[in-house]
Amino acid sequence: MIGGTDIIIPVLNSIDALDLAVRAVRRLWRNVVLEDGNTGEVLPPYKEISFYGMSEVLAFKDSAAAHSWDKIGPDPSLNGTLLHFIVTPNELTVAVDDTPSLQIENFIESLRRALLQDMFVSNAEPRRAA
Amino acid sequence: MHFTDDASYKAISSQKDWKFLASLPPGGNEFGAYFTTLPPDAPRFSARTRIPKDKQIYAFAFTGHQGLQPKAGGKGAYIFWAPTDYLVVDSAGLNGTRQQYHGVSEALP
Repeated sequence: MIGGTDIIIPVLNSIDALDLAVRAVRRLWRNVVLEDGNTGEVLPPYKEISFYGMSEVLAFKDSAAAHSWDKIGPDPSLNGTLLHFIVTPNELTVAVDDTPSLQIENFIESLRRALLQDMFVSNAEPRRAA
Repeated sequence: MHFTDDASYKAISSQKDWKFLASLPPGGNEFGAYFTTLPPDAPRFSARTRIPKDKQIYAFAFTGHQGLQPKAGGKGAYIFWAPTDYLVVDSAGLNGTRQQYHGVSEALP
């Protein structure tokens, strides 16, 4: 039996989307622990991260949460401590708690708006000078 | 693989053919029977699948995925589901392709 809620956001560029999501979560949680979901390796400081070829990032609120997720798994006591980002060519999936907290809901909404804006900007026709 | 709890493990394993009952999982997931290709020792298994720890001790493994569809979004890479009960038949052709695990983390090779 699986759990959690997956929020799927259309994106133009998956690498840029993952980059943006990681920047956003670093602002949400000051002591965030970022891991490559496929390898379980802790990611280096943001400026050293290469998003090329990366498809999953787990963002734990802090090191205590990162430890607890392995030890006790999904548990109500860990609500609001994990954001799971997965990218496919044209989508960013954000996996959250069964019933996400208001803080997480607001984060998702901000991220969705930012990614949507990014799509509009990228699709905009350049204006030509008269 | 299908992970489940003690009661379901006993019910499923007592039958010649394995029947995985569809149910409504927590969160925003659709009614169905769910499976994963991730082994329980995959990095961050709990965080990626959100399968409770008490349901990680019992597992059924089989090959083939007829009738299963990938979950929508990025998790479709390793989570599959069927909208109804899912039957894995113990036919002669499937010999050796089904295994059940009791105490998964210790039993898996």
